Amino acid sequence: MEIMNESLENVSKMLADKSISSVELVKASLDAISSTQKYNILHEVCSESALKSATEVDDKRARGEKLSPLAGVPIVIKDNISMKGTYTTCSSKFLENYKSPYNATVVDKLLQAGAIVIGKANMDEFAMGSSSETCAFGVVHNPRNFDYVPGGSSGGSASAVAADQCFGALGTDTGGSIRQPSSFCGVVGLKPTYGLVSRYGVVAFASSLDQVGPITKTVRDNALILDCIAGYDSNEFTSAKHQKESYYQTSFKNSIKGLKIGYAKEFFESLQNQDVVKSIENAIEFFKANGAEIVDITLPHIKDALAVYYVLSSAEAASNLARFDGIKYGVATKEYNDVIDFYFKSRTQGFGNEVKRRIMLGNFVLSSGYFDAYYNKAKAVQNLIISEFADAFNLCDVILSPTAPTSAFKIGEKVNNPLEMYLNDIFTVPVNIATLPAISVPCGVAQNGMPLGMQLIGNRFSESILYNVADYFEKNCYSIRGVK
Amino acid sequence: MEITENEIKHLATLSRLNFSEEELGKFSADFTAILNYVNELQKVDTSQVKDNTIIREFDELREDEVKPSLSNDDVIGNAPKNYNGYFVAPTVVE
Repeated sequence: MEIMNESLENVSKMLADKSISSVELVKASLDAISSTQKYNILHEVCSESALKSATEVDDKRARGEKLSPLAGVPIVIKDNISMKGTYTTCSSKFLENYKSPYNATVVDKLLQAGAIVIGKANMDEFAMGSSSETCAFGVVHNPRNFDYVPGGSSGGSASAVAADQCFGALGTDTGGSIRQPSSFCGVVGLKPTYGLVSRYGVVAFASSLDQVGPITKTVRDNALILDCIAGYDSNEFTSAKHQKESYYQTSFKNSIKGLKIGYAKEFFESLQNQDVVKSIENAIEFFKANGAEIVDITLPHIKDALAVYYVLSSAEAASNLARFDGIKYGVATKEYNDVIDFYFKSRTQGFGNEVKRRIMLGNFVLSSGYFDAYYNKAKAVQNLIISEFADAFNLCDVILSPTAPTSAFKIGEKVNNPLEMYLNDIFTVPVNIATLPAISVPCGVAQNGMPLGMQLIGNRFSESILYNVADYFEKNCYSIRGVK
Repeated sequence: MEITENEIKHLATLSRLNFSEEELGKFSADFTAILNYVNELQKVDTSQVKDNTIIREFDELREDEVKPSLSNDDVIGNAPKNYNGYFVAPTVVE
């Protein structure tokens, strides 16, 4: 299946010059999916609709119609993104039989561009987790080594790309859920600026932090997908009225001369894993040698971001998940005494342990007597973190950090210790707290043979700068795919 | 900070979730560990923060327009129980 190893950019060119058809690509993708089934990456494979859409795209191309770069290309979406007629389970028993009655805006945009949605990817239940082990339909395995987790919560989306089942995927990122699995699976993942990509039709976890973004094999592929999904949506109150950009056309300058890269010592103080330390040192040396300037910055409250995150995200999750009552959709218990008992039993049967833990924590921080001490306090610390980033971006263009404190760990290793699991997101969470964009790109391999990722954080709406730096690094310093 | 099993039970009631006695023990331990971590926030000096609003650009409402919505069948289709285009809920008043 050589073709499945190609980048999205390359297959898009091959489709355009008709050296391959979309139907052929979809068939290759379906073959790759069936030969990598044991990794438990997809919950649903859309073979029929994919082949039908591929035929339509091929017909349009034969008629000489002008098509988007994504036309005819198989893409995977995370299972918390609605697509009419498909199951949208959020990898929860609660929604096992839920079929979306409408398309999310990002799905509408993909389909209008002629992209082929080939499948829906497993994830941590309701996107709560960092290892894809809370998935109600079995754990997802890392395609680079079966015994290891793929990260989470978009572990299925990152795995689908790493296993060459598709040419790109959509994930969602509330505290690192695109970037951390991208790092663990050796792929490229972008968490866009809050408000850049519509969440209409995406099942809400923590609405003030959630963002949809692309996961791809290369940085340039990533820009191709962002071009398609970004933009204002009147269906979403928090959608930003940001001028439409073509990231693919304008980002890549093939130079980082004069670029100022911020180095915050606070990111590195607690870092123990020497593989991670070395890979970042290596990247810093590379950037210096290629004309960038490393600038010392300080982010004193970044160490508090994870606590802020667990207060705010759990509070919002408890509210968002209150609508799961077993009446409008989802699990409905068969035996009950009265309506309250019905709610208790339906919710207890439908939700997994991690989801229950977050609902409980959320209701705790929102309950009277604790609201000021936890929720309001967390909002105040969030404000401090936002101002510290704003000050830092007066001194630099991007900020460099590892994506995660370690490479992928073994399945089962952290599943019984929630707090240790939460610490995986220590570098990614501040970005969501501050509503910023960040990209994770592969930057080396650890002793355990698993990939490492580097995170580049930008100021609001500076995705094109992130793409340029990441692409330059991928082309000239390190690429997990080998330099072509 | 130690959280008692009674407090956990109260939270479970607020959350509309049931736990067995065995689950409660494990839950209390995990919960205490997470709360102790989160409690570090109390040490942060936030006296300089005057306003907790995060993003101001999203306070504009769009015009209210009449548009087609989902069909009744689409909306009702996922309900575990429905009747004549209505959701069926457990009896609330006898």
